[in-house]
Amino acid sequence: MSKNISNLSGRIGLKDNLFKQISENTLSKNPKDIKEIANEHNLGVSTLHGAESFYEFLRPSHREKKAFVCNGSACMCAGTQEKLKDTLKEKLGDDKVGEMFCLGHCYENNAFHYDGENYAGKDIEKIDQILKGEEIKQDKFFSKSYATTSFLMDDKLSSTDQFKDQLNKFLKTSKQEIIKSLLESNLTGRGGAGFPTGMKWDFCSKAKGDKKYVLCNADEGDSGAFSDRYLLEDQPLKVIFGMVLCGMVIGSDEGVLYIRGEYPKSIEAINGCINELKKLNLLGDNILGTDFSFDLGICIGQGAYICGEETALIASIEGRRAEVDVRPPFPVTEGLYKKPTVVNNVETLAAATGILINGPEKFSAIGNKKSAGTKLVCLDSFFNNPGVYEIDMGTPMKKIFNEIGGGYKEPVKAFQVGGPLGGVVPLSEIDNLNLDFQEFTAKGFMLGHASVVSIPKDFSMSEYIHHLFEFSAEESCGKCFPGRLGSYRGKEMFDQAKKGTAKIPLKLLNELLVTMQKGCLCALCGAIPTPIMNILKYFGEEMKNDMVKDN
Amino acid sequence: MSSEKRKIAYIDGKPYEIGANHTSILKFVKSYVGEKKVPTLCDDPNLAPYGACRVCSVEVALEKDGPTRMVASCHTPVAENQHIFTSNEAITSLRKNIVELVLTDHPMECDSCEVNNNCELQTVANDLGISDHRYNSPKQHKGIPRDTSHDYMRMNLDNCINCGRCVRACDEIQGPFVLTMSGRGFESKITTDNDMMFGDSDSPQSSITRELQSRRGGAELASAVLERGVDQRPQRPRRPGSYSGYGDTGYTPMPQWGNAPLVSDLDDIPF
Repeated sequence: MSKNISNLSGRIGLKDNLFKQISENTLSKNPKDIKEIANEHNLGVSTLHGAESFYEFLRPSHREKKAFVCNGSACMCAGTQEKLKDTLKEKLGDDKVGEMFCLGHCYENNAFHYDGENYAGKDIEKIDQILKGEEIKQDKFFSKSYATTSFLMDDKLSSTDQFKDQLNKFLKTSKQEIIKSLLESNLTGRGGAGFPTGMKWDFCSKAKGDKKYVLCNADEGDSGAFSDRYLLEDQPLKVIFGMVLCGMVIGSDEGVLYIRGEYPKSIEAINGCINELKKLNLLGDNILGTDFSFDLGICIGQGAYICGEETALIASIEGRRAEVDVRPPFPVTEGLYKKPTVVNNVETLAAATGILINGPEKFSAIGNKKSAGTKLVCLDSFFNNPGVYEIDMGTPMKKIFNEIGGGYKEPVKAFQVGGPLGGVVPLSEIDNLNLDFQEFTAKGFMLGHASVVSIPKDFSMSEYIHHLFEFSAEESCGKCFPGRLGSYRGKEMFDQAKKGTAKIPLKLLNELLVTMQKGCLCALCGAIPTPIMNILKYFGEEMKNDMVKDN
Repeated sequence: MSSEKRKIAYIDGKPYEIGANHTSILKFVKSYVGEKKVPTLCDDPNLAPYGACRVCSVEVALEKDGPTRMVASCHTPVAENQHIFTSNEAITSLRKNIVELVLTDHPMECDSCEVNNNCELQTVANDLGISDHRYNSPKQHKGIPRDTSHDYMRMNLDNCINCGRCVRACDEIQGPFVLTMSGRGFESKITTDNDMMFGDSDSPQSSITRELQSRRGGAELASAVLERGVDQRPQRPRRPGSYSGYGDTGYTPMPQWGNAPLVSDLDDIPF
C-alpha cells in the first residue's frame, strides 16, 4: 500500500533503516519516546507503533521473559520440549519462559534460547553453567555433500583470498555473460516460489531506477530446515559473493541480509565476514580499484515468520507493518523503497556463486530442466544420520532416507517435507518420490526447502493439524480476510476437538481449507491447507472418531 | 483514428475493449457490467489496490476454454484475450465462505445497528444469501471500549471488519499518519497514534482538528500536510474539512461502509 511511508523511509535509507531504529529503540534499556523518531522522519507515531506491535520480540510480554523453548514442528514431534520447559521454569520462574518458533536445531531437539544464544541437544544438562554466563562447548550439525559436483559445500570459496581471486575474475566478466550462465544452469529460486534466478537478475538489470537493491532473504523460519543456517555459518562467503555479483549485474551498490533473530550465530558469522571484506576493500567503495562499489549490511528479524515472504520482508525493512503487498508491481521493478530490487534466498545466492565458479553446464547436467542442480536437504533427529546434505536433484527419496539418512531410530509414519507449508508425505509414498520440485507438486505435496520433519508412529495427526493451524494463526500477518480469520477458526476447531468440547465438522473444515487455498493473499495461509489436506487424505481414518461429517 | 490495435478481453464470454483506465480486472468489469457484478469489502477506487477481503475474486483463463485460476480482481491486471468469469459455483462458494468468516467476528445485531439497511457488508452478505455462520463458539472482538472522546470522530471496533480503508485514506490521501493497524493476525486491530484516543489533547488528530478549527479552510490543511514532506500525494481538489480523507472520496463513509471504524460526520463539521 503506502508509497508515502516507503518514500519517507527511503530518505532515511538502508544503513540506518527505520526497522532497525524501531527495534533497537524498543530493545534498548532506555528507549526514547517513538514520537521523537516519528517526528524526525515526518512519519506518524502510528506508523511506528503499528510496525513495532507486529513483532513478537518487540512485545512487552516477550521481553519480560528470559528463556524461550523452541516450539517448531521437529522439536514438538521429538517430544523433548515439555520436560525442557519444566527444567527452565524451575530455574528461572514460571513466568520467565516463553516460546520461539524453530531455532534450527531440528537434528538434535531440546532447543531453547537464552540471553541471545541458542542451546540444544544435551546443552540443558549444563544449564547452571549457561545461567552463570559461562561459554559451553556445543555440538555442531553434521554436513556432507553427496552431489556429483558440489556447488554449495565445496571449499572453493572458504577464504578471503579465494574470494578476492574469484571477484577479480568476475568483475571482468560481462553482465550478460553472468546472466547467460545462470539461465543456462536452470537454477530456480530455492526459497519456495521457484522463479528462474537468471531471469530475475535480468529483469532487474533492465529495470529503470536511480538506485537498486540486493536483498538476501535469510529469514528461514521453516521448521525442519537448517540449510540456510549451514550456509550462513559455514559458507558465508558464497552467500555474500552471490550478492556482490548480483549487485554488479543489476547495477546496485547496496544490499542487505535480512537474518532472523532466532539465528544469533548466523548473524555473528555474516557480520564478521562483512567486516573482514570491508577491511580488504572486497566490499565498499571502488572494490579492487574498479568503479564498482557495493556495501552490505544486516537487518535482524524480530520474530515474524511472514518476513520470509518477499513483499513483507521489504515492508519490514522500510519500517512498515510486515504485511504482504499485492503484486504487481513485483520487487524487480518496485521493491525496497519502491526501487528495483532482487530478493533472493540464501541457498539461491550460494548456488549462483557455485554455478559461476564451477560452470553452469555442470549444474544443468544434474536433474532435469525444472529441477536442476543440487539441493540441500535437512534430516531431523529421527534419522540415524541427522544433518544437512547436498544431494543431486532427481535422487530417489528412498535413497536419501535409507542410505544417506541411515534409516530411522524409531518407527515413523509420515514426514512433513518443505516446512510447515510443505506437504505431509506418508511413509508409503516415499518410495514413489524423487527429489524433484514438480514431482512433489504433482502428487499434492511441496518440496519447498527440502527440510524433513519426521512424524513418529504414535503421534496424533489431529494434534499435528492443530499445530499447523496454531502456527498459521500465530504467524498470519492479519491482512487478508481468509488468512486472518480462517487460520484462527481452524485452530479453534482443533482446540475444541482436543478438549473434547466439540467434534470437527468435516464439511465445514473442507470448505475452510479450499477457501484459504484459493482465496488467501500469500502462501502462508494459502499453503497451510496443503499439509492439512494431505493428513486428511492419508490419515483421516485415524481421526474419524473426532469428526462429524455434516455441520 | 488511433493507430494502436484495440485490445480485447472477455467478461463471461462477451468481448470488451480494454481501456487505458482499466488498471485492474475489477475496474474493467465494473466499467462494462456494473458496480454490483463483483462484490467488494475493502476496495476503494481512490485508494491503491489492497487485496485484503478477497471477495472480489474471479476466475481467469488466459485463452478460451483454457485452465482457470482464481485471482482477486482488484489487484490483478487485465490482459489481452483474457477470459474473465465473474460468477460460478467455485467463485460463489469462495465469496460465501469468506463473508461467513467475517460474520464470525461481527455482532449480528443489524436491527439495532445505526447503519442498518445502509451497510456494505449487509448488502454483500444478503446478495450472497448469508445471514449466519456455522462455526462453533468463535472468539470475537467484542466489547472493545468505544472511543467517543472526540467531537467529530468516534470509533467502534466491535463493528470493524479490518478493511483498512480508514488507515489507507489517512495515509494515501490525507497523510497525517494518525491511524494504523496494530498487532498481528487475528489480534490485529485499528488504533490511533500510539493507542491514544481521538480526543487526547496532544494527539495529532486533535492538533489537526485544532488547526482546522482555527483556519477554517482546506487549502491551509493541504499545505500543512505537504510540509510533512510527502511528495507523491494525489493531486485532487480538497473539499474543505476533509481532514479524515473522506472528503475526497465524495461520500460519507460510515453509512456506506457500515463496518468502518472511523465515523466522520462531514456534514456536521462547522466549516
